[in-house]
Amino acid sequence: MKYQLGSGFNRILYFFVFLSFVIPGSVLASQNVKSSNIKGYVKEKESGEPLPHANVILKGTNRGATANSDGYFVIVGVPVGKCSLEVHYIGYESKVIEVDNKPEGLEPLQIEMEAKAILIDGVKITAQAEMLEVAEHISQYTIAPRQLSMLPNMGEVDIFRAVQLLPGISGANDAESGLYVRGGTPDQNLILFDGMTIYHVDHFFGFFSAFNANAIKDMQIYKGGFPAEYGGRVSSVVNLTGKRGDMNEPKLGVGANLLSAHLNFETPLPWTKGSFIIAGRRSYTDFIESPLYNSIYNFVTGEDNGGAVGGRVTGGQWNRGIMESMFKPSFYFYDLNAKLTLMPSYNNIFAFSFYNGKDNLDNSQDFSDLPFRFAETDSDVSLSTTDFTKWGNLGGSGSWSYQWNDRLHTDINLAYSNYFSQHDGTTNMDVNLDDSTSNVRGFSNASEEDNSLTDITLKLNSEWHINRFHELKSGLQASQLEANYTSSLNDTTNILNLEDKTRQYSFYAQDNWKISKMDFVLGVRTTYYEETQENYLEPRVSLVYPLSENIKLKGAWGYYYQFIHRIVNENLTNQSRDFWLLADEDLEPTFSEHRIVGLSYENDRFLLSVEGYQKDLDNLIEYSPRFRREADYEDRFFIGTGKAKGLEFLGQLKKGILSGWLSYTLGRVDYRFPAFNDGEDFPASHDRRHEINTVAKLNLGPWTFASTWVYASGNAYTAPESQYFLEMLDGEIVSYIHVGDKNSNRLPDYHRLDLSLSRQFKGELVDSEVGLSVFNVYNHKNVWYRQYNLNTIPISITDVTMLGFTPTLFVQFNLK
Amino acid sequence: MKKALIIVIALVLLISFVSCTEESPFAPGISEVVVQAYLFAGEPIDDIKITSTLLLGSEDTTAPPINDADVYLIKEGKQYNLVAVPGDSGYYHYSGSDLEVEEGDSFEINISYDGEISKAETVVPPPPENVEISDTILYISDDFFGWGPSDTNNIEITWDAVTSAMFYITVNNLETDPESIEMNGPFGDGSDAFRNFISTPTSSNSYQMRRMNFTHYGKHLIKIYRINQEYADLYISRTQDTRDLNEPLSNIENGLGIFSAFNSSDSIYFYVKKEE
Repeated sequence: MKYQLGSGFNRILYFFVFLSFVIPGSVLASQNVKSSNIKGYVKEKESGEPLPHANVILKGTNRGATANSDGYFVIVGVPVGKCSLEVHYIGYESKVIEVDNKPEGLEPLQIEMEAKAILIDGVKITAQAEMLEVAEHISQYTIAPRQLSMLPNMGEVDIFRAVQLLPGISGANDAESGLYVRGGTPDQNLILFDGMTIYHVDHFFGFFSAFNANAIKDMQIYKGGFPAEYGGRVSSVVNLTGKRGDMNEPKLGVGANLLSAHLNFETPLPWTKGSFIIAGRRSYTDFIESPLYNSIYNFVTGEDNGGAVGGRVTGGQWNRGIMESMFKPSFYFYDLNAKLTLMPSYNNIFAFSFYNGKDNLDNSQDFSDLPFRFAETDSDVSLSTTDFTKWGNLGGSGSWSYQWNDRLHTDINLAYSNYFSQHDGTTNMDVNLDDSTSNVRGFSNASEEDNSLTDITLKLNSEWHINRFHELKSGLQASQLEANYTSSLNDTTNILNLEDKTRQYSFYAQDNWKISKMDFVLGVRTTYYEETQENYLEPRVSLVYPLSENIKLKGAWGYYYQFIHRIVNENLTNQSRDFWLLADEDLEPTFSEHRIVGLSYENDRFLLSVEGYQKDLDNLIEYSPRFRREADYEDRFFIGTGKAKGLEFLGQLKKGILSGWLSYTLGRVDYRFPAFNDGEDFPASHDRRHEINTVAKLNLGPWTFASTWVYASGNAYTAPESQYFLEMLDGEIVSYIHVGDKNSNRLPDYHRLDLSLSRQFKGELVDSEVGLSVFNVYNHKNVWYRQYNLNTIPISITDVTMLGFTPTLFVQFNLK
Repeated sequence: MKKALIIVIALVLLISFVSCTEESPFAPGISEVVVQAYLFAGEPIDDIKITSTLLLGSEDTTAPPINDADVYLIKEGKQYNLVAVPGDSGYYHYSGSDLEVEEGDSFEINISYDGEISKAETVVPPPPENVEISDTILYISDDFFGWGPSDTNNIEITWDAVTSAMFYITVNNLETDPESIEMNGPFGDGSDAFRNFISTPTSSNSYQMRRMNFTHYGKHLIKIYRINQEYADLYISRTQDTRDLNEPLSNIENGLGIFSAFNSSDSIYFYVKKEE
């Protein structure tokens, strides 16, 4: 279903277009002041790296600019004469620069920012400054990856786990580093890394996010109401900018924890102006099984709770006897980031970025030592199974950005991204007989599951600062998407074989229009999607209105379409293997309408913010391989609608030795599917009514003490109401359950306290940092899901719990 | 700073107390009527059982049978009253001789119990046609190792393919005291429990019987049944993901369970013999 805009919207659009040209002209005519543009680059002093999205404010006014990904900013029409610029970037000392603006303009300013530091015994130590910055635009946050290392973690600095501590983003699941943003699901988030769309964002069955914090410079998060320059998802945007590497001197960093080790190397290029960085992480879980690894592995695979994740409810025995006790699965993950930046001139930048993240699970078993024998013969039997699963994302991008003049900037980005998930399972049995009988010699069974999604996208973006009232962004995007999913048995039986290839073409334009004190962004995005041969129009509006120096009223509204679906594939005998499918005429693009209002109060010390949102969703897809009446796979998909709404509160302490934030979210997500719950509304399974997050960080000299505490009311789930028995035609009595209303029950509340303590050391040649982190300090038994065993009368229930008290250590060395 | 710390600690304590409230792991409910009603073409109507659900959390260990319901079968507008089998089994049967189950017949079942009416409909499917067997004797040696889908020494049964139709196959050992086949696999020797077996519902038009399927020598009877979708649905509903429970598929209105009809092929006989 496409959402049509009424003629009323068109009239409003024309009115604003008219105003946008009339007002600036009249205002400019009334002013007779000479002015010119102030432009420049914001970069880190130590490394010379640009600081994307740094804020530059013209002091004493409400005017300013945000640096682009190259660190470039321009403030158009600054009156000639002396003025002050105030520059902010998260985690860095703010800076005030006095400028004497000339009628002919100035050379680009080179503003160097220093990381916040404290002196200990006369030596500067990096002070862990604020980790979070609330942006001007509604529902937008900036996170500083380098500041997250002090937060409690499971060994790996996990940027997505930190994002889960923000209001409106649910994080109350130990086995899920995906983001549930304002009632949306993880597949509804657009995750961009240097222009590549990343489809698989986690490691270790979802326990860690797949992004190496050492390779990321900047992270922008839009929880909703995102501008027209972003498209293709209905919930949120996470835009990651990779580090370019040190422009001044080579640097090497190594680190390790109880699961993995990492290494990063960055260097300026010797032959030309530019830099190179490579950063990699690899777990050593396949040859050293630390207690931490065993603890997490057992949790994510369900071993802690006596069986496979998702435990089947009935229908026979789940044989995990002698055979399964004799093998140990082998598992590892790795990721690798590399980026080469070439800067032939200050306004001409080429960047090539590479990303590869992969998880590998080998569940193969060899039972050759088992004492299987033919009776009264010397023949023996060997049984072996191979069970390989690998999944991950491979991507690369190349971009060229060019600053044509003070006010016009363009960049071209060509990105390739490939998500893959492959499962290969075979069972082989060989029988070695001591005679020449013609009996069975062996057999082989094979099952394969393969999902790949390839995304090749070309983007052209331009940013034109027309005048001091208008900043026009526009762009073109062409994508080719190819999704394949095959599931087969014994190379001959195709269970499911889906192949789809399509293209989509998008155009967007958005005007950031300053009307008096108000900042108003009016944008539109339109996408032609080849598969449905339809054009999808997405108007978007947002505004920021300062009620006083410290208080701002914000709002946003917009239409959003998503042309790809991630199907949650329940697998009764193993972990879920989700797969991606392209939207088509049957599985139409998902649609969402966002409505958001907010109010914030901010000064130098703290920030208070409240936002209310409502999000309507259409063409949501649910998939069930069993809940069907026909063999045709398309009848296994169910289409419905959803409605998410909520209120979010955030209080942030920005300065001082104690910093952090406290957030509270009151939320509700209801789904409606004609096939479920008699067509009545029911809570989505990720619906949580209340969520509280606290993040506190205390700096005491070289010591940093940090804590996070998470509370969330229980997830919704469907509980059984009664049990009944039916005799099948083979005489087997099968136990069935009659369930209550869908998702009408709630799991117990979730809460968890994590603590960490770390210390920095400064040396002549090496800086280092060691730390201890403790997860779930008071060992609260958080229930993941309830497992019902129908093979008993009455039904027995097991609460499958999440990770308990888990300590871990980490160490980091940075060679100078 | 102290105030902030106090607030955080107070919140932790408050929530710890508040969150102690546990919700029952079962949804509240009332007893429902459970119908297990199978009609077989050409056979008497005696496989109809009415029970009640067992509420979760109850101390009972068996589902209570319902022996005092008013149960009717309706065919071509005519109502036939089923009577409870004596005892406490919940079974009902039709004792008259004027009601036959034949291909194409539409049946409705109507159960009145405790002021509520449960009902369902089914149609007797046609039987499988042109059923053929590839051989009538299957030889198995004494030291046969029981596993092996790749064992090519099979017997194949085929029948006419019908679009969207589903079938199942039953195999019964007809011997009164059959000799068991020595099974040398890790699962040990054959057991009487496996003398008879039944396939899973299939939409195929053939079925391979391998030596591994048999546990006893002797004469066997094979029947192919054409089944309706409601039985296949019930079969599919046997397993569930405990994280996302769904109501098992059922064709009973205002109740649970199944009302379905089956039609079988003519009987086919074959022998499992010892390989010399």
